[in-house]
Amino acid sequence: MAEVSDSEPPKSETSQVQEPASDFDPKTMRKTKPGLKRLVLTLSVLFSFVLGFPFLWKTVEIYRAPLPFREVESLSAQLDSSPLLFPCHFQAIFLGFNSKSSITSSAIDDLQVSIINQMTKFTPQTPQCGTCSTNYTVSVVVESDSQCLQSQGSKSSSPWKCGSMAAVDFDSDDDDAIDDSLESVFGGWSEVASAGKVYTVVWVRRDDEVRAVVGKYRHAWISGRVSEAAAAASRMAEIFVKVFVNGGKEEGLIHEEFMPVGADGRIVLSFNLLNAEPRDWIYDWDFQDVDENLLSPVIEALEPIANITVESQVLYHTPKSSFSYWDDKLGSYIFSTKDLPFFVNSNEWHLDTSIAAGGRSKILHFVVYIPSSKECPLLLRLPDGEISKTNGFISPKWGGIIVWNPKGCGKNSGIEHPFRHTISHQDLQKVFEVFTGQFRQLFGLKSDNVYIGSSGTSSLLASERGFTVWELDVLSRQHTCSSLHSCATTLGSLSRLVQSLPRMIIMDEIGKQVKFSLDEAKLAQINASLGVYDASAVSSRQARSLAEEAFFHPSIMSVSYYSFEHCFAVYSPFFLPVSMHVLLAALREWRRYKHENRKYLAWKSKAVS
Amino acid sequence: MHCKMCTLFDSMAVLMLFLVLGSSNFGNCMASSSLLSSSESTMHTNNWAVLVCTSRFWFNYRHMANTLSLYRTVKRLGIPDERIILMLADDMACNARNKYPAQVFNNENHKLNLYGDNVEVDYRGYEVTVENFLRVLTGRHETAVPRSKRLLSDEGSHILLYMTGHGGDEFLKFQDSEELQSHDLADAVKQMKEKHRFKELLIMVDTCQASTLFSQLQSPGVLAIGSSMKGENSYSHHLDSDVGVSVVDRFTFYTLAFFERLNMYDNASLSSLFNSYDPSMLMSTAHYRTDLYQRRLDEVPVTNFFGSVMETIHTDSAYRALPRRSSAGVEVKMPSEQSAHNNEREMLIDSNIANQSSGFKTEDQKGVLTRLWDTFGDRIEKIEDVDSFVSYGLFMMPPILLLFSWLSW
Amino acid sequence: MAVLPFRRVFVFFFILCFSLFYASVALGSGIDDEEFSEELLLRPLPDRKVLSHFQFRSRAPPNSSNGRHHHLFPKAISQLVQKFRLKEMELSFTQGRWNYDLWGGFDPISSNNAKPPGVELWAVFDVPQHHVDSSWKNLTHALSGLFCASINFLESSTTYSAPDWGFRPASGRLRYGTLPREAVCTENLTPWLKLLPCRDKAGVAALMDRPSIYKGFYHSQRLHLTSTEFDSDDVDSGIVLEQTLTVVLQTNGKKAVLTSQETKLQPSWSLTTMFGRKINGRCVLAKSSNVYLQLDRGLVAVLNNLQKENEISAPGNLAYEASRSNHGFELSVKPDRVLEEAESQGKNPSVLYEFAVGKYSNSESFDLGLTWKLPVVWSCQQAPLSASRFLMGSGNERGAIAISWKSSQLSQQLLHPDVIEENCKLQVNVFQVVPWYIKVYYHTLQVFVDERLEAVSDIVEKIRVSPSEDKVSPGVMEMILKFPCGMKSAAITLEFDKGFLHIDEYPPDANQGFDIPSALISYPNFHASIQFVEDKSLDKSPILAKFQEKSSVRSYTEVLLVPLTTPDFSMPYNVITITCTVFALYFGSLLNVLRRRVGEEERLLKSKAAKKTGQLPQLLLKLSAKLRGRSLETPQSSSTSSSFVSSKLILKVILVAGLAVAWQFYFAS
Repeated sequence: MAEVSDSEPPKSETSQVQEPASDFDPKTMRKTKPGLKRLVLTLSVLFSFVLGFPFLWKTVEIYRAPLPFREVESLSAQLDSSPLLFPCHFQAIFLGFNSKSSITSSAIDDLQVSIINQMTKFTPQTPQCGTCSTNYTVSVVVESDSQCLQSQGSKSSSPWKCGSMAAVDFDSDDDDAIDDSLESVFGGWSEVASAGKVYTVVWVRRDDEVRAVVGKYRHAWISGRVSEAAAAASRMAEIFVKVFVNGGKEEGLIHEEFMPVGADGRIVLSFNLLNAEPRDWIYDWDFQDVDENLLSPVIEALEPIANITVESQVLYHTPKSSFSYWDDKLGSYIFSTKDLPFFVNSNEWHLDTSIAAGGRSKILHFVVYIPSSKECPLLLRLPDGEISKTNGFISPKWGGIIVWNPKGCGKNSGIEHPFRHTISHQDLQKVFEVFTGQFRQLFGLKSDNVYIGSSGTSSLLASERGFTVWELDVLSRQHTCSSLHSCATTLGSLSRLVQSLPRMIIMDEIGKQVKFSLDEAKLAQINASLGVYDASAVSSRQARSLAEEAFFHPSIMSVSYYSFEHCFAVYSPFFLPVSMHVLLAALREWRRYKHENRKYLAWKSKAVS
Repeated sequence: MHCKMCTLFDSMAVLMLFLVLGSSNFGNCMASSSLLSSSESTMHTNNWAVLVCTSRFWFNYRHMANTLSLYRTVKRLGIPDERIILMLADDMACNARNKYPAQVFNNENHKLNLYGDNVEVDYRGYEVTVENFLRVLTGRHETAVPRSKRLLSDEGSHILLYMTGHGGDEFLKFQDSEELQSHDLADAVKQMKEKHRFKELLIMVDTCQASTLFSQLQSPGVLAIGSSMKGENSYSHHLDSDVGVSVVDRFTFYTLAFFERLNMYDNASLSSLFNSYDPSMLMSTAHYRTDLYQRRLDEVPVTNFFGSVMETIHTDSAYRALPRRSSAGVEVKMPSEQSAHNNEREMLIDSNIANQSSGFKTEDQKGVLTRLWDTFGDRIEKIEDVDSFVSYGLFMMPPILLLFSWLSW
Repeated sequence: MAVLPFRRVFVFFFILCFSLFYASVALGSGIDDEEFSEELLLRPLPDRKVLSHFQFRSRAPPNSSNGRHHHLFPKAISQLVQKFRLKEMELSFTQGRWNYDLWGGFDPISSNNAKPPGVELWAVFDVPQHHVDSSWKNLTHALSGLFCASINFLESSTTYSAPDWGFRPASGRLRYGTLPREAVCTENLTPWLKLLPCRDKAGVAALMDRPSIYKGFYHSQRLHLTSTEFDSDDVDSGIVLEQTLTVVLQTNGKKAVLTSQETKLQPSWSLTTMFGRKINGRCVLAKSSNVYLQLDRGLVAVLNNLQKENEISAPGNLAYEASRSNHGFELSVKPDRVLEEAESQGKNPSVLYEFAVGKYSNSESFDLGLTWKLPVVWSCQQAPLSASRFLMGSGNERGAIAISWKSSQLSQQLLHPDVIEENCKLQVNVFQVVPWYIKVYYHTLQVFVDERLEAVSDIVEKIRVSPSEDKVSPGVMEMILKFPCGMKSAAITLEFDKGFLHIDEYPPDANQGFDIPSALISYPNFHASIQFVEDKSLDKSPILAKFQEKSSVRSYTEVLLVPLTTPDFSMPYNVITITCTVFALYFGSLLNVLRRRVGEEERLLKSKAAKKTGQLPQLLLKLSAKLRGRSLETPQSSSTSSSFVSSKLILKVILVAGLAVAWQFYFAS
């Protein structure tokens, strides 16, 4: 290059020398065209830099899989705006109304209307998620030995065959027998009926006290005299709404989001038998038997809601950490509800030893505590002074504890070589009933088999599966709702996170999981609208767990290690100075070229003239 | 004197400069997004504690003693072991230099063996890294990681996060090899908030310039206290000539002194704890942030963070599957007395508030410690100066470069 | 023989108490065949120390509930077995090193319970070959959570290996890994104790006072489980979990003034002086809970000789009236049984005193004490060869590993008959794993026998080497050596180069150096087993059963510490900044050169110099001229320019200094 740079100035020298005579001043004019070499060179360098920057950017940028932000937004918005409502169908059947004046169909329609009005009175105005509110149909059937009338619009939906049951069938005292016979009649329905489940209340004309029984399945019956239609309507409506739809639980028993199901839709029930002081006595149990006979039906009943596994162990030398005092009147040791929060002795009770349980699944501990001989009959006193019948308590999201006092305790205390006992089957069954009660309590269901409404109490039959069919319906409705909500919130927070942290790596897998969970959520909504409870519960569970997996994906950790500042600190020492050089050079060259060119043009014009 | 490492080595200077600038505008975007995700409806169900000792090597014995003292305290106040994540960067108890194997003391009267008989360390040695720490907070683990190493908190949890080690301006050193920057912490906390992993979070830092570590926090529901302000060191309390090193830091020592008086049933409030720090004893000013925290400090008992109270409900009745006659003989128990102890716990708290008339306000303290607050004030100004200075410096850099490169033609 | 009545009494006693126990079990429940037994073995060591060896054994029968319901057996362990389909697993936490020369190398305890320092984990899986690695990874995570240790570092493929035959004979789906520098402390013992039904609340385990255990010279906490859940071929015994804690303790007796007599006398000890605690009754859940005191052959020989010397005292051997006291020493508690070794080469059988803890309680607690009456000096039986491993070479580039054997006197007396005929060979198996950053050159293997270099082929019987792969897998070497019986010493050497790690592969304390895990030396022809004669009436106690297993003698070598070059970890940013600046300068000047017009600029300068312009532009012009290295024609200007140079320098210096001052002021607080 050197000779090039030398070669040019002489030109201008010569041009100066050639004609001193003419009024040529080198300041403003030149004879030769200014050279383009350097300008082109610097500009090319500059452009190469400018072009190079995108490639550099490409190298330092991080991979982010595209996430369907819009769908996520729409899902959560949709769930907020229109809560999930399930279709339900209610049917009121009046049996054995042998009235002289034959009942007209219009009267039946009036009855239907009044029932609907009553139900709307019972249902809260704002439709809650996971209920049937404003999404139900009611049909009324009145049957007497003379005729059988059905209300309008219910012909199709209620395949009730007149005469399939008579009032005399309800005479027996055995409620379960009646319940089963009803089931044999209605059994086929809920499958047949396309629009969700069919709940039935049968009113049997009887001349004694009004008595309402809610069966193990999806029907109840009321026997007694009917004073006037309105009362009957309200009674039925209450059973429909409060029991069948809301599960007969008061609000605030346990908060809604305390549904004790793990984020991955699993529950591990860990049953523990604690011998506080094995030197006094050692108790053992045959839990295998309990598991097979009593527990398995409950688990399979809850199959759509959660996937439950059971494990049990026996622990020794596990004293409780709260105090108790001797009560002469009762002849036993007393601990009060004030002490309950301090009952669990987490330093000695090693309950949480489950390796089988995954990271996000829920562990519920159920503990049978056998006190030592020093405080052997150990009873729980309630604030109102009486002694608890169950002798147990729960802690939400943790599990339940039962204090079980062995027979004749206090007698054989302090023997040297204690014999081992096994808890007899009857006792174990009693304990297990309390467990079931606690388990239901954790799910927010009451266990005393009555429901007390504004219009009289009605007794609820208990199912040996732990949960009656209509309770399971309630649970699956609520579960679907809550898990869909949590899925939506999780995805929403994930998308917010991703948008607010631009340097976060997002792998394809996460995008896939988000997509799948959205699909599952849609499926759940469709199933819900069709009234397919189990399917919707299952798919909502899937949606939730997928969303959780996406949010907690271990690859989302690179935020701290390659921040933008880091990148800047690494690259600026090179690019700042160099870019300065290049820009300056280009600028100067360009200015000079324009200047020289003007001089040249000036000379040219002069020369021409 | 103990904070030689607290000063930056200059090679990091450039990086730090950019970090400070970047993190300042980083925070703003957090605030906007995290405000709309604050659910106060849930009740306080359980307590968790994450106790971190970040410094290695024998001469940092006191940091492990700090952490173990806190561990022992929260265990004594009822937080079970499976809800404590204990991270110890080195093994002091069975260290070859330890004259008392399997024992750690935080006082030269060796009354109390902090290591005890059933300590459970979840992360130790080389496992104590910034990455693992952030994973614990955000819950993003490999699937194989066992439950005992996870922070399985939920929207009803109160979390105590205690960190001690060697810190500096907006960073905390892990094992002398890597740093946790303040905006990393703020970032993790924000993610926890997004996922409802805590209801309330108390961050307690005992390092040099501790208060700078949580200066970037933006998430609501977070309460933070640091042993020292920006530009201050936090010093060790005393040296045990028998063990051969100093065994506890001042801030932690006085925290323990406060807690030794309490038991599980006690209801002392957070403000009484915070007021118990005396700058002349600490030789540094304990600084705390309450702007993100909704409740008043004198209404919050310390057991909300340092203890655990199980919320229980009595089981009314068993579920009898055996067929029975109808509602005869079933007496109905309304769930009125459920969680009775909760109500009266509240009552206790109220009474406690009543007799704690010496409520705590920032303005009040201004009256009390004027000198302290003046220093605080001008330090605040200085901090702003720093930021502006940094940004000016950045914007002046191109002209300077321009000048030089032009000079060098 | 007077032994018999004595025996009968105790047989009767034991039958009684066990029958009582069985009755209870039978009464208790048919389902519960899960059983648990606890034992403690004490043995005085020649160097004024005492070996105490806790052994707990719990068994879970194979049941249909596939590991979901448990009574005595720890739930966590059986879930481990179920989840990862373990056939066999051993996990050991060890601190200190077993002193093979002083504490013996030829007995079951030393060959089974002497473990390498740190953590050693090996497991045999019952999964298809391609799943083994993944389940190993998950297993390490689960164990790290269970035992509060960072075992999960064994998940990376650079830390574990798959030995073929060198570690255990015919090990198929076995994985083996060690963490030599893992600390072992209380937090590891806590979960280990949680696996026992009555943790340390009762029984033998109540002795475990943490400070006194970890004060010991050597403690190794071991967990070994075998399960026959998955293979149906042999008798199905369910899961057997064996937990042992082996501690070598200093008997810190009274520190009274020791006369010369007393110094020769072995220190007397008791459970209280060693552990600071007593045993208050057995763990009521234990099927058997015994304490044993073992006198090994050397000691028995010495004592017998003493007895022969002074025949004045009551005649007879240790076996019977020694039970309470003999002239050698005195026991504070009367043993319930005395067992003798059945067959022992040499006339001095090892003796075992058995104490049943069952009959003690809080009221009268069990505190076994041993008081020496005469100074005795003996030595434990040693391994045929005493092996040791060391490093050779210096510097940070290369070195060599050497393993050397010295024949102990025992090997001569063992092999004495064989030495007569030639071709008598002493077989030695070596198994060693070397991390990848120690690049071992296996072709440089050299074998020395009696300081003479031998051809590798005629000493090395069989060798299998899987060379290390950088950042992927460690190097594994398994070899079978056959030394001539007569030899005094032998050695093998291997040369290696030291590799470089990536900057974030260095641990925080890289300056300490890096560990090479211990090698395992085993002697397959020698079996360490002690057969005690005992009446078959009552079932064998697990510890005795353990003694009778014919396990080959094994010993671990030292851990080697290799210093690697450790960089200055604050370097990268300096490097980045400096290199970038250099590049920038180079680039800028190149650009200048390319786009410079020499002559023209000179003219420009001249003209500018002609007419006086403002101060600063002229100054700058001259500066630039100066920078170009050409002095101006006019001398005065040159001089001025030089002054200007200095002013420019000053300008720069001032600016930089100002920056630095500001920086100090605002940041370095």
